[in-house]
Amino acid sequence: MKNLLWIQGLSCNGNTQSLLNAENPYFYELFQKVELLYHPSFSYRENLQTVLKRIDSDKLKVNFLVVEGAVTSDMKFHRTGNYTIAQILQKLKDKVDYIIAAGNCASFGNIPATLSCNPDVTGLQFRFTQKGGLFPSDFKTKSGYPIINIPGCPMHPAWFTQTIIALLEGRKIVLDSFNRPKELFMYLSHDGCIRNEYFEWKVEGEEFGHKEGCLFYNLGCRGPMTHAPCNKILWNGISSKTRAGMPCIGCTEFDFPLRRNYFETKKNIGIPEEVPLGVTKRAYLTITGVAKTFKNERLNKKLEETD
Amino acid sequence: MGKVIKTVLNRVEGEIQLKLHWEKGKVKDAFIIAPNFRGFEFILEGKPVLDALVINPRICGICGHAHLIATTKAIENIYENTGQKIDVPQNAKLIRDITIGAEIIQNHIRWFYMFVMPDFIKLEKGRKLKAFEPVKGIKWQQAVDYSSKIVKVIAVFGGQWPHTSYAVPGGVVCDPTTFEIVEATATVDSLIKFTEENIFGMNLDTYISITSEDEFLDRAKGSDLKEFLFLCKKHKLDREGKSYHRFLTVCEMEHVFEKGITKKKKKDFHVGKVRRD
Repeated sequence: MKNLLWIQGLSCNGNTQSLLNAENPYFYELFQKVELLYHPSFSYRENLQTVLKRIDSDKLKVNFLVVEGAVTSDMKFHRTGNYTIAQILQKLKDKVDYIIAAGNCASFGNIPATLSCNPDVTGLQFRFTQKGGLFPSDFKTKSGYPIINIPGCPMHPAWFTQTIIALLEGRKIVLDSFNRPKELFMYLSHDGCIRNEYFEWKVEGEEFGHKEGCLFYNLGCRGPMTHAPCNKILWNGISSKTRAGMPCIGCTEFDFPLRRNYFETKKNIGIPEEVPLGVTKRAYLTITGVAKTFKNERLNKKLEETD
Repeated sequence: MGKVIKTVLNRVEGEIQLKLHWEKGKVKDAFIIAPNFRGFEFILEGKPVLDALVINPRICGICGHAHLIATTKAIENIYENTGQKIDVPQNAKLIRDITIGAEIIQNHIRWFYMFVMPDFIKLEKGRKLKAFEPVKGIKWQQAVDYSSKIVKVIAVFGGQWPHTSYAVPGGVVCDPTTFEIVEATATVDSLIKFTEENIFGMNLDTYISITSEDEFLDRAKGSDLKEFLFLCKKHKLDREGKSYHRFLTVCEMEHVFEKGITKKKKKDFHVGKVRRD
Protein backbone atom coordinates (compact mmCIF):
# COMPACT_ATOMS: atom_id res chain seq x y z
CA MET A 1 0.00 0.00 0.00
CA LYS A 2 1.22 3.52 -0.79
CA ASN A 3 1.79 5.79 2.17
CA LEU A 4 1.36 9.41 3.22
CA LEU A 5 3.25 11.61 5.65
CA TRP A 6 1.60 14.81 6.93
CA ILE A 7 3.73 17.61 8.35
CA GLN A 8 2.86 21.11 9.51
CA GLY A 9 4.52 24.49 9.29
CA LEU A 10 2.91 27.74 10.41
CA SER A 11 -0.66 26.55 10.42
CA CYS A 12 -4.02 26.86 12.16
CA ASN A 13 -4.75 23.15 11.58
CA GLY A 14 -7.81 24.23 9.57
CA ASN A 15 -7.01 21.99 6.60
CA THR A 16 -6.78 18.98 8.87
CA GLN A 17 -10.08 19.95 10.47
CA SER A 18 -11.62 20.47 7.04
CA LEU A 19 -10.33 17.10 5.85
CA LEU A 20 -12.02 15.41 8.82
CA ASN A 21 -15.31 16.61 7.29
CA ALA A 22 -14.69 14.61 4.10
CA GLU A 23 -17.70 12.53 3.08
CA ASN A 24 -16.86 10.50 0.02
CA PRO A 25 -14.54 8.96 0.98
CA TYR A 26 -14.60 9.68 4.70
CA PHE A 27 -11.28 10.60 6.32
CA TYR A 28 -10.82 7.07 7.70
CA GLU A 29 -11.80 5.51 4.36
CA LEU A 30 -9.10 7.52 2.57
CA PHE A 31 -6.57 6.08 5.00
CA GLN A 32 -7.69 2.56 4.19
CA LYS A 33 -6.52 3.26 0.64
CA VAL A 34 -3.27 4.94 1.66
CA GLU A 35 -1.31 4.30 4.86
CA LEU A 36 -1.02 7.32 7.17
CA LEU A 37 2.60 7.23 8.37
CA TYR A 38 2.36 10.20 10.69
CA HIS A 39 0.04 13.11 11.36
CA PRO A 40 0.82 15.59 14.18
CA SER A 41 -2.80 15.64 15.38
CA PHE A 42 -3.55 11.92 15.33
CA SER A 43 -0.34 9.97 15.81
CA TYR A 44 0.24 8.98 19.40
CA ARG A 45 2.70 6.12 18.97
CA GLU A 46 4.86 7.31 16.11
CA ASN A 47 7.21 10.20 16.54
CA LEU A 48 8.12 12.49 13.65
CA GLN A 49 11.85 12.45 14.40
CA THR A 50 11.93 8.64 14.19
CA VAL A 51 9.97 8.64 10.94
CA LEU A 52 12.38 11.24 9.52
CA LYS A 53 15.40 9.18 10.54
CA ARG A 54 14.00 6.12 8.80
CA ILE A 55 13.42 8.13 5.63
CA ASP A 56 16.88 9.67 5.86
CA SER A 57 18.53 6.26 6.07
CA ASP A 58 16.37 4.98 3.19
CA LYS A 59 14.65 2.40 5.40
CA LEU A 60 11.31 4.01 4.63
CA LYS A 61 10.06 5.19 1.27
CA VAL A 62 7.40 7.89 1.25
CA ASN A 63 4.90 8.29 -1.57
CA PHE A 64 2.88 11.35 -0.56
CA LEU A 65 4.29 14.17 1.53
CA VAL A 66 1.52 16.56 2.59
CA VAL A 67 2.46 19.96 3.95
CA GLU A 68 -0.03 22.07 5.87
CA GLY A 69 0.99 25.60 6.79
CA ALA A 70 3.41 28.22 5.54
CA VAL A 71 7.14 27.54 5.75
CA THR A 72 10.09 29.47 7.14
CA SER A 73 13.74 28.71 7.75
CA ASP A 74 13.89 31.09 10.70
CA MET A 75 14.21 29.10 13.94
CA LYS A 76 12.65 31.97 15.88
CA PHE A 77 9.32 31.48 14.10
CA HIS A 78 9.01 27.74 13.66
CA ARG A 79 10.52 24.58 15.08
CA THR A 80 9.67 20.91 14.99
CA GLY A 81 12.00 19.23 17.44
CA ASN A 82 15.36 20.74 16.54
CA TYR A 83 14.51 21.48 12.92
CA THR A 84 12.60 24.13 11.04
CA ILE A 85 9.97 23.03 8.56
CA ALA A 86 12.29 24.31 5.80
CA GLN A 87 15.12 22.01 6.94
CA ILE A 88 12.76 19.02 7.07
CA LEU A 89 11.48 19.77 3.56
CA GLN A 90 15.00 20.12 2.16
CA LYS A 91 15.80 16.67 3.55
CA LEU A 92 12.65 15.09 2.12
CA LYS A 93 12.14 16.82 -1.21
CA ASP A 94 14.09 14.38 -3.37
CA LYS A 95 12.97 11.27 -1.50
CA VAL A 96 9.20 11.42 -1.98
CA ASP A 97 7.03 10.81 -5.05
CA TYR A 98 4.61 13.69 -4.57
CA ILE A 99 4.49 16.81 -2.44
CA ILE A 100 1.01 18.21 -1.84
CA ALA A 101 0.52 21.70 -0.42
CA ALA A 102 -2.69 21.37 1.60
CA GLY A 103 -4.37 24.77 1.87
CA ASN A 104 -3.48 28.32 1.00
CA CYS A 105 -0.65 28.74 3.56
CA ALA A 106 1.47 25.91 2.12
CA SER A 107 0.50 26.89 -1.43
CA PHE A 108 1.07 30.65 -1.43
CA GLY A 109 2.09 31.78 2.07
CA ASN A 110 -1.29 33.23 3.08
CA ILE A 111 -1.75 35.08 6.39
CA PRO A 112 1.55 33.97 8.05
CA ALA A 113 3.48 35.39 5.06
CA THR A 114 2.01 38.85 5.65
CA LEU A 115 3.92 39.22 8.94
CA SER A 116 6.28 42.02 8.00
CA CYS A 117 8.98 41.25 10.60
CA ASN A 118 9.69 37.86 9.01
CA PRO A 119 9.90 38.24 5.22
CA ASP A 120 11.16 34.66 5.03
CA VAL A 121 7.67 33.11 5.45
CA THR A 122 6.53 31.63 2.15
CA GLY A 123 4.51 28.96 0.37
CA LEU A 124 6.32 25.89 -0.94
CA GLN A 125 6.74 26.94 -4.55
CA PHE A 126 5.06 30.35 -4.62
CA ARG A 127 5.06 33.41 -2.44
CA PHE A 128 1.80 35.14 -3.30
CA THR A 129 2.10 36.20 -6.97
CA GLN A 130 5.79 35.48 -7.08
CA LYS A 131 6.97 32.18 -8.56
CA GLY A 132 9.46 30.34 -6.42
CA GLY A 133 8.98 29.98 -2.69
CA LEU A 134 11.07 27.66 -0.55
CA PHE A 135 11.63 25.66 -3.75
CA PRO A 136 12.49 27.27 -7.11
CA SER A 137 9.78 27.41 -9.75
CA ASP A 138 11.39 24.63 -11.83
CA PHE A 139 11.53 22.14 -8.93
CA LYS A 140 9.87 18.79 -9.55
CA THR A 141 9.41 15.77 -7.30
CA LYS A 142 10.36 12.22 -8.36
CA SER A 143 6.96 11.79 -9.99
CA GLY A 144 7.67 14.67 -12.37
CA TYR A 145 5.02 16.91 -10.82
CA PRO A 146 5.90 20.21 -9.16
CA ILE A 147 4.37 20.86 -5.72
CA ILE A 148 0.66 20.18 -6.25
CA ASN A 149 -1.24 23.09 -4.70
CA ILE A 150 -4.68 22.48 -3.19
CA PRO A 151 -5.34 26.03 -2.00
CA GLY A 152 -8.29 27.45 -0.12
CA CYS A 153 -8.43 28.80 3.41
CA PRO A 154 -9.22 26.08 4.25
CA MET A 155 -9.15 23.65 1.33
CA HIS A 156 -12.34 21.71 0.69
CA PRO A 157 -11.86 18.09 1.81
CA ALA A 158 -13.08 16.66 -1.52
CA TRP A 159 -10.46 18.64 -3.47
CA PHE A 160 -7.79 16.88 -1.42
CA THR A 161 -9.23 13.35 -1.29
CA GLN A 162 -10.02 13.36 -5.02
CA THR A 163 -6.50 14.53 -5.88
CA ILE A 164 -4.90 11.80 -3.75
CA ILE A 165 -7.19 9.08 -5.11
CA ALA A 166 -6.66 10.16 -8.72
CA LEU A 167 -2.90 9.89 -8.20
CA LEU A 168 -3.27 6.54 -6.39
CA GLU A 169 -5.22 5.26 -9.39
CA GLY A 170 -2.42 6.37 -11.66
CA ARG A 171 -4.44 9.10 -13.37
CA LYS A 172 -2.73 12.11 -14.83
CA ILE A 173 -3.59 15.44 -13.25
CA VAL A 174 -3.37 18.62 -15.30
CA LEU A 175 -2.25 21.65 -13.31
CA ASP A 176 -2.97 25.32 -14.01
CA SER A 177 -0.31 28.04 -13.98
CA PHE A 178 -0.44 28.16 -10.17
CA ASN A 179 -0.04 24.37 -9.96
CA ARG A 180 -3.64 23.80 -8.87
CA PRO A 181 -5.51 20.80 -10.35
CA LYS A 182 -7.05 22.39 -13.45
CA GLU A 183 -10.25 20.35 -13.44
CA LEU A 184 -11.07 21.62 -9.96
CA PHE A 185 -9.90 25.19 -10.29
CA MET A 186 -11.12 25.91 -13.83
CA TYR A 187 -14.46 26.82 -12.23
CA LEU A 188 -15.05 30.16 -10.58
CA SER A 189 -16.72 30.28 -7.18
CA HIS A 190 -19.40 32.31 -8.99
CA ASP A 191 -20.35 29.23 -11.08
CA GLY A 192 -23.43 27.63 -9.54
CA CYS A 193 -24.12 30.43 -7.07
CA ILE A 194 -27.85 30.61 -6.32
CA ARG A 195 -27.63 34.41 -6.63
CA ASN A 196 -26.54 34.22 -10.27
CA GLU A 197 -29.85 35.54 -11.64
CA TYR A 198 -29.33 38.72 -9.62
CA PHE A 199 -25.87 39.01 -11.14
CA GLU A 200 -27.25 38.46 -14.65
CA TRP A 201 -29.95 41.12 -14.31
CA LYS A 202 -27.74 43.42 -12.21
CA VAL A 203 -29.91 43.47 -9.14
CA GLU A 204 -27.33 44.49 -6.57
CA GLY A 205 -27.38 43.66 -2.90
CA GLU A 206 -27.09 46.86 -0.84
CA GLU A 207 -26.69 45.32 2.61
CA PHE A 208 -26.21 41.93 4.28
CA GLY A 209 -28.98 39.76 5.69
CA HIS A 210 -31.06 39.15 2.56
CA LYS A 211 -31.64 36.15 0.34
CA GLU A 212 -31.97 38.50 -2.60
CA GLY A 213 -29.35 40.45 -4.51
CA CYS A 214 -25.91 39.84 -5.96
CA LEU A 215 -22.99 40.50 -3.60
CA PHE A 216 -20.54 41.46 -6.37
CA TYR A 217 -21.26 45.11 -7.07
CA ASN A 218 -21.37 46.56 -3.55
CA LEU A 219 -20.51 43.92 -0.98
CA GLY A 220 -17.06 42.82 -2.08
CA CYS A 221 -17.85 39.39 -3.55
CA ARG A 222 -14.86 37.91 -5.44
CA GLY A 223 -16.95 35.10 -6.96
CA PRO A 224 -16.54 36.12 -10.62
CA MET A 225 -12.74 36.49 -10.22
CA THR A 226 -11.90 33.51 -8.00
CA HIS A 227 -10.88 30.07 -9.24
CA ALA A 228 -12.69 27.63 -6.92
CA PRO A 229 -15.51 25.09 -7.33
CA CYS A 230 -17.18 26.21 -4.06
CA ASN A 231 -20.65 26.32 -5.63
CA LYS A 232 -20.14 23.07 -7.53
CA ILE A 233 -18.68 20.95 -4.73
CA LEU A 234 -20.64 22.33 -1.80
CA TRP A 235 -19.16 22.96 1.64
CA ASN A 236 -20.03 20.46 4.36
CA GLY A 237 -22.06 18.85 1.62
CA ILE A 238 -24.80 21.48 1.79
CA SER A 239 -23.88 25.12 1.22
CA SER A 240 -21.35 27.80 0.38
CA LYS A 241 -20.50 31.26 1.67
CA THR A 242 -22.28 33.07 -1.16
CA ARG A 243 -25.36 30.86 -0.79
CA ALA A 244 -25.56 31.85 2.88
CA GLY A 245 -25.09 35.52 1.99
CA MET A 246 -21.41 36.07 2.65
CA PRO A 247 -19.22 37.47 -0.14
CA CYS A 248 -16.51 35.23 -1.58
CA ILE A 249 -13.18 36.51 -0.22
CA GLY A 250 -11.04 34.82 -2.87
CA CYS A 251 -9.24 32.49 -0.44
CA THR A 252 -8.13 29.99 -3.09
CA GLU A 253 -6.14 32.64 -4.93
CA PHE A 254 -2.42 33.34 -4.76
CA ASP A 255 -3.00 36.96 -3.71
CA PHE A 256 -5.19 36.16 -0.69
CA PRO A 257 -5.03 37.94 1.79
CA LEU A 258 -3.13 40.86 0.25
CA ARG A 259 -6.36 42.73 -0.51
CA ARG A 260 -8.21 44.88 2.01
CA ASN A 261 -11.87 45.63 2.71
CA TYR A 262 -13.40 42.23 2.05
CA PHE A 263 -16.97 43.43 2.56
CA GLU A 264 -16.88 46.32 0.10
CA THR A 265 -16.36 46.46 -3.67
CA LYS A 266 -13.65 48.87 -4.73
CA LYS A 267 -15.04 51.22 -7.39
CA ASN A 268 -13.96 54.24 -9.43
CA ILE A 269 -16.83 56.54 -10.40
CA GLY A 270 -19.30 53.74 -9.89
CA ILE A 271 -17.34 51.17 -11.91
CA PRO A 272 -15.90 48.13 -10.10
CA GLU A 273 -12.11 48.21 -10.20
CA GLU A 274 -12.10 44.54 -11.14
CA VAL A 275 -14.71 43.06 -13.48
CA PRO A 276 -15.58 39.37 -13.98
CA LEU A 277 -12.75 37.31 -15.51
CA GLY A 278 -12.78 37.14 -19.29
CA VAL A 279 -14.80 40.34 -19.73
CA THR A 280 -13.52 43.82 -20.60
CA LYS A 281 -14.65 46.79 -18.54
CA ARG A 282 -16.44 48.15 -21.60
CA ALA A 283 -18.33 44.87 -22.15
CA TYR A 284 -19.24 44.71 -18.46
CA LEU A 285 -20.61 48.27 -18.53
CA THR A 286 -22.59 47.66 -21.72
CA ILE A 287 -24.23 44.48 -20.46
CA THR A 288 -24.94 46.15 -17.11
CA GLY A 289 -26.68 49.06 -18.82
CA VAL A 290 -28.76 46.75 -20.99
CA ALA A 291 -29.70 44.41 -18.13
CA LYS A 292 -30.81 47.30 -15.95
CA THR A 293 -33.05 48.68 -18.73
CA PHE A 294 -35.03 45.45 -18.84
CA LYS A 295 -36.05 45.56 -15.24
CA ASN A 296 -36.66 41.97 -14.11
CA GLU A 297 -39.74 42.28 -11.94
CA ARG A 298 -39.35 38.97 -10.18
CA LEU A 299 -35.86 39.84 -8.99
CA ASN A 300 -36.94 43.17 -7.57
CA LYS A 301 -39.29 41.56 -5.04
CA LYS A 302 -38.64 39.62 -1.86
CA LEU A 303 -38.44 35.95 -2.89
CA GLU A 304 -41.40 35.10 -0.67
CA GLU A 305 -43.52 37.61 -2.60
CA THR A 306 -42.69 36.44 -6.12
CA ASP A 307 -45.21 34.69 -8.39
CA MET B 1 20.93 21.49 38.60
CA GLY B 2 18.99 18.28 38.09
CA LYS B 3 17.87 16.57 34.95
CA VAL B 4 16.13 18.53 32.18
CA ILE B 5 13.64 16.66 30.04
CA LYS B 6 12.01 18.02 26.93
CA THR B 7 8.86 16.40 25.58
CA VAL B 8 7.11 17.24 22.35
CA LEU B 9 3.36 17.46 22.54
CA ASN B 10 1.52 17.46 19.25
CA ARG B 11 -2.11 18.25 18.67
CA VAL B 12 -3.51 21.38 17.10
CA GLU B 13 -1.64 24.15 15.23
CA GLY B 14 1.98 23.35 15.77
CA GLU B 15 3.78 21.50 18.46
CA ILE B 16 4.22 22.47 22.06
CA GLN B 17 7.34 21.54 23.97
CA LEU B 18 7.19 20.72 27.63
CA LYS B 19 10.47 21.37 29.44
CA LEU B 20 10.74 19.95 32.95
CA HIS B 21 13.53 20.53 35.45
CA TRP B 22 13.74 17.54 37.77
CA GLU B 23 15.45 17.57 41.14
CA LYS B 24 15.47 14.69 43.60
CA GLY B 25 12.60 12.96 41.87
CA LYS B 26 10.40 16.05 41.82
CA VAL B 27 9.61 18.62 39.18
CA LYS B 28 11.40 21.79 40.26
CA ASP B 29 10.30 24.00 37.41
CA ALA B 30 8.18 23.58 34.30
CA PHE B 31 8.12 25.48 31.01
CA ILE B 32 5.64 25.26 28.20
CA ILE B 33 7.26 26.39 24.96
CA ALA B 34 5.31 27.14 21.81
CA PRO B 35 8.01 27.45 19.14
CA ASN B 36 5.67 28.56 16.34
CA PHE B 37 4.83 32.20 15.91
CA ARG B 38 2.44 33.63 13.33
CA GLY B 39 1.90 37.08 14.89
CA PHE B 40 -1.76 37.83 14.21
CA GLU B 41 -1.60 40.78 16.59
CA PHE B 42 1.00 42.40 14.32
CA ILE B 43 -0.68 41.29 11.10
CA LEU B 44 -3.86 43.12 12.12
CA GLU B 45 -2.09 46.44 12.69
CA GLY B 46 -3.22 49.13 10.26
CA LYS B 47 -5.86 46.94 8.61
CA PRO B 48 -9.47 48.10 8.09
CA VAL B 49 -11.42 47.00 11.15
CA LEU B 50 -13.87 44.72 9.33
CA ASP B 51 -10.99 42.73 7.83
CA ALA B 52 -10.48 41.26 11.30
CA LEU B 53 -13.65 39.24 10.59
CA VAL B 54 -11.73 37.44 7.84
CA ILE B 55 -8.30 37.28 9.48
CA ASN B 56 -9.11 36.36 13.10
CA PRO B 57 -11.04 33.10 12.57
CA ARG B 58 -7.88 31.81 10.89
CA ILE B 59 -6.06 31.91 14.21
CA CYS B 60 -7.43 28.43 14.88
CA GLY B 61 -8.73 25.70 12.64
CA ILE B 62 -10.71 23.82 15.27
CA CYS B 63 -12.30 26.78 17.06
CA GLY B 64 -12.17 29.53 14.42
CA HIS B 65 -15.87 30.23 14.80
CA ALA B 66 -15.34 31.28 18.43
CA HIS B 67 -12.74 33.76 17.16
CA LEU B 68 -15.25 35.09 14.62
CA ILE B 69 -18.00 35.64 17.20
CA ALA B 70 -15.53 37.22 19.66
CA THR B 71 -14.20 39.51 16.90
CA THR B 72 -17.71 40.54 15.87
CA LYS B 73 -18.60 41.41 19.45
CA ALA B 74 -15.32 43.29 19.94
CA ILE B 75 -15.99 45.40 16.84
CA GLU B 76 -19.53 46.07 18.06
CA ASN B 77 -18.01 47.26 21.34
CA ILE B 78 -15.69 49.60 19.44
CA TYR B 79 -18.65 51.18 17.65
CA GLU B 80 -20.56 51.47 20.93
CA ASN B 81 -17.60 53.06 22.68
CA THR B 82 -17.58 55.78 20.03
CA GLY B 83 -21.22 56.49 20.76
CA GLN B 84 -22.79 54.59 17.85
CA LYS B 85 -25.57 52.32 18.95
CA ILE B 86 -25.49 48.80 17.54
CA ASP B 87 -28.77 46.94 17.64
CA VAL B 88 -28.33 43.25 17.01
CA PRO B 89 -31.76 41.79 16.20
CA GLN B 90 -32.93 38.97 18.46
CA ASN B 91 -32.96 36.41 15.62
CA ALA B 92 -29.34 37.24 14.74
CA LYS B 93 -28.34 36.82 18.41
CA LEU B 94 -30.02 33.42 18.44
CA ILE B 95 -28.36 32.32 15.20
CA ARG B 96 -24.93 33.35 16.57
CA ASP B 97 -25.62 31.34 19.73
CA ILE B 98 -26.67 28.34 17.67
CA THR B 99 -23.60 28.34 15.43
CA ILE B 100 -21.14 28.88 18.29
CA GLY B 101 -22.95 26.09 20.16
CA ALA B 102 -22.52 23.79 17.17
CA GLU B 103 -18.78 24.47 17.12
CA ILE B 104 -18.51 23.78 20.85
CA ILE B 105 -20.23 20.41 20.36
CA GLN B 106 -17.79 19.62 17.53
CA ASN B 107 -14.89 20.66 19.82
CA HIS B 108 -16.07 18.37 22.62
CA ILE B 109 -16.37 15.37 20.34
CA ARG B 110 -13.08 15.91 18.51
CA TRP B 111 -11.11 16.65 21.68
CA PHE B 112 -12.56 13.76 23.62
CA TYR B 113 -12.31 11.05 20.98
CA MET B 114 -9.34 12.26 18.93
CA PHE B 115 -7.08 14.13 21.30
CA VAL B 116 -7.75 12.64 24.74
CA MET B 117 -8.86 9.01 24.49
CA PRO B 118 -6.03 7.79 22.20
CA ASP B 119 -3.50 8.71 24.91
CA PHE B 120 -5.11 6.17 27.23
CA ILE B 121 -4.24 3.40 24.76
CA LYS B 122 -0.59 3.90 25.73
CA LEU B 123 -1.40 3.69 29.43
CA GLU B 124 -3.69 0.68 29.03
CA LYS B 125 -1.37 -1.94 27.66
CA GLY B 126 -3.29 -4.94 28.89
CA ARG B 127 -6.79 -3.64 28.35
CA LYS B 128 -8.40 -3.40 24.98
CA LEU B 129 -9.22 0.13 23.88
CA LYS B 130 -9.23 -0.85 20.24
CA ALA B 131 -12.42 1.08 19.52
CA PHE B 132 -10.60 4.33 20.35
CA GLU B 133 -7.63 3.66 18.04
CA PRO B 134 -7.07 6.69 15.72
CA VAL B 135 -8.34 6.21 12.17
CA LYS B 136 -9.06 2.48 12.64
CA GLY B 137 -11.22 2.35 15.79
CA ILE B 138 -14.99 2.34 15.40
CA LYS B 139 -15.51 4.97 18.10
CA TRP B 140 -12.86 7.22 16.56
CA GLN B 141 -14.62 6.87 13.20
CA GLN B 142 -18.00 7.64 14.74
CA ALA B 143 -16.51 10.76 16.30
CA VAL B 144 -15.40 11.86 12.81
CA ASP B 145 -18.93 11.28 11.48
CA TYR B 146 -20.80 13.14 14.20
CA SER B 147 -18.34 15.99 14.74
CA SER B 148 -18.50 16.62 10.98
CA LYS B 149 -22.28 16.38 11.04
CA ILE B 150 -22.83 19.03 13.72
CA VAL B 151 -20.79 21.63 11.82
CA LYS B 152 -23.37 21.37 9.02
CA VAL B 153 -25.45 23.58 11.33
CA ILE B 154 -22.81 26.30 10.87
CA ALA B 155 -22.88 25.69 7.11
CA VAL B 156 -26.69 26.14 7.10
CA PHE B 157 -26.36 29.66 8.55
CA GLY B 158 -22.82 30.62 7.61
CA GLY B 159 -22.13 28.72 4.38
CA GLN B 160 -19.21 26.59 5.59
CA TRP B 161 -17.09 25.33 8.46
CA PRO B 162 -14.16 25.90 9.05
CA HIS B 163 -13.59 29.63 8.50
CA THR B 164 -16.77 31.45 7.61
CA SER B 165 -17.10 35.17 8.39
CA TYR B 166 -20.89 35.22 8.34
CA ALA B 167 -21.32 37.19 11.59
CA VAL B 168 -20.83 40.92 11.05
CA PRO B 169 -21.29 43.90 13.39
CA GLY B 170 -25.04 44.38 13.75
CA GLY B 171 -26.06 40.81 12.96
CA VAL B 172 -25.47 37.95 10.58
CA VAL B 173 -25.44 37.85 6.77
CA CYS B 174 -28.00 35.05 6.39
CA ASP B 175 -31.77 35.00 6.22
CA PRO B 176 -32.59 31.30 6.58
CA THR B 177 -35.76 29.69 5.28
CA THR B 178 -37.99 27.51 7.48
CA PHE B 179 -36.60 24.49 5.70
CA GLU B 180 -32.99 25.39 6.36
CA ILE B 181 -33.86 25.80 10.05
CA VAL B 182 -35.45 22.34 9.98
CA GLU B 183 -32.25 20.94 8.44
CA ALA B 184 -30.35 22.38 11.40
CA THR B 185 -32.77 21.05 14.05
CA ALA B 186 -32.73 17.58 12.48
CA THR B 187 -28.94 17.62 12.66
CA VAL B 188 -29.02 18.60 16.34
CA ASP B 189 -31.53 15.79 17.08
CA SER B 190 -29.22 13.28 15.50
CA LEU B 191 -26.34 14.57 17.66
CA ILE B 192 -28.42 14.28 20.82
CA LYS B 193 -29.11 10.64 19.99
CA PHE B 194 -25.40 10.01 19.38
CA THR B 195 -24.51 11.65 22.70
CA GLU B 196 -27.14 9.69 24.63
CA GLU B 197 -26.09 6.35 23.17
CA ASN B 198 -22.33 6.83 23.25
CA ILE B 199 -21.28 9.48 25.76
CA PHE B 200 -23.95 9.59 28.48
CA GLY B 201 -25.13 6.00 28.19
CA MET B 202 -28.65 7.16 29.10
CA ASN B 203 -31.17 9.59 27.72
CA LEU B 204 -30.61 13.33 28.02
CA ASP B 205 -33.38 13.96 30.58
CA THR B 206 -32.03 11.26 32.86
CA TYR B 207 -28.51 12.61 32.50
CA ILE B 208 -29.62 16.12 33.46
CA SER B 209 -31.46 14.75 36.51
CA ILE B 210 -28.40 12.86 37.82
CA THR B 211 -27.30 14.24 41.20
CA SER B 212 -24.15 12.30 42.02
CA GLU B 213 -21.22 10.55 40.42
CA ASP B 214 -22.27 7.24 41.97
CA GLU B 215 -25.75 7.57 40.53
CA PHE B 216 -24.24 8.32 37.11
CA LEU B 217 -21.89 5.34 37.26
CA ASP B 218 -24.73 3.14 38.40
CA ARG B 219 -27.17 4.12 35.67
CA ALA B 220 -24.88 4.67 32.66
CA LYS B 221 -24.82 1.80 30.17
CA GLY B 222 -22.22 1.69 27.38
CA SER B 223 -21.05 5.19 28.25
CA ASP B 224 -17.70 6.51 27.02
CA LEU B 225 -17.82 9.16 29.74
CA LYS B 226 -18.06 6.36 32.32
CA GLU B 227 -15.10 4.64 30.66
CA PHE B 228 -13.16 7.92 30.78
CA LEU B 229 -13.90 8.43 34.50
CA PHE B 230 -12.85 4.85 35.18
CA LEU B 231 -9.56 5.33 33.34
CA CYS B 232 -8.87 8.67 35.05
CA LYS B 233 -9.27 7.13 38.47
CA LYS B 234 -7.36 4.01 37.60
CA HIS B 235 -4.36 6.08 36.50
CA LYS B 236 -4.88 8.58 39.33
CA LEU B 237 -5.38 11.46 36.90
CA ASP B 238 -7.96 12.86 39.30
CA ARG B 239 -5.12 13.44 41.77
CA GLU B 240 -2.50 14.82 39.36
CA GLY B 241 -2.00 18.45 38.46
CA LYS B 242 -4.28 19.69 41.19
CA SER B 243 -5.04 23.40 41.11
CA TYR B 244 -5.68 25.99 43.83
CA HIS B 245 -9.40 25.68 44.45
CA ARG B 246 -10.30 28.91 42.76
CA PHE B 247 -13.47 27.69 41.15
CA LEU B 248 -17.15 28.42 41.21
CA THR B 249 -18.92 25.15 40.83
CA VAL B 250 -22.27 23.55 41.46
CA CYS B 251 -20.97 20.03 41.81
CA GLU B 252 -18.30 18.03 43.53
CA MET B 253 -15.58 16.29 41.64
CA GLU B 254 -13.59 14.16 43.94
CA HIS B 255 -10.05 15.46 44.64
CA VAL B 256 -10.27 18.07 41.89
CA PHE B 257 -12.78 20.59 43.11
CA GLU B 258 -15.45 20.88 45.75
CA LYS B 259 -18.88 22.41 45.61
CA GLY B 260 -18.97 26.12 46.37
CA ILE B 261 -17.02 29.29 45.79
CA THR B 262 -13.53 28.30 46.73
CA LYS B 263 -11.38 31.38 46.21
CA LYS B 264 -9.49 31.91 49.47
CA LYS B 265 -12.43 31.46 51.85
CA LYS B 266 -14.94 28.74 51.10
CA LYS B 267 -18.55 29.88 50.82
CA ASP B 268 -21.73 28.00 50.20
CA PHE B 269 -23.16 27.96 46.75
CA HIS B 270 -26.89 27.60 46.13
CA VAL B 271 -27.74 26.41 42.67
CA GLY B 272 -31.36 27.47 43.18
CA LYS B 273 -30.30 31.11 43.29
CA VAL B 274 -28.66 31.02 39.86
CA ARG B 275 -30.57 33.06 37.30
CA ARG B 276 -30.19 33.17 33.58
CA ASP B 277 -30.77 36.53 31.91
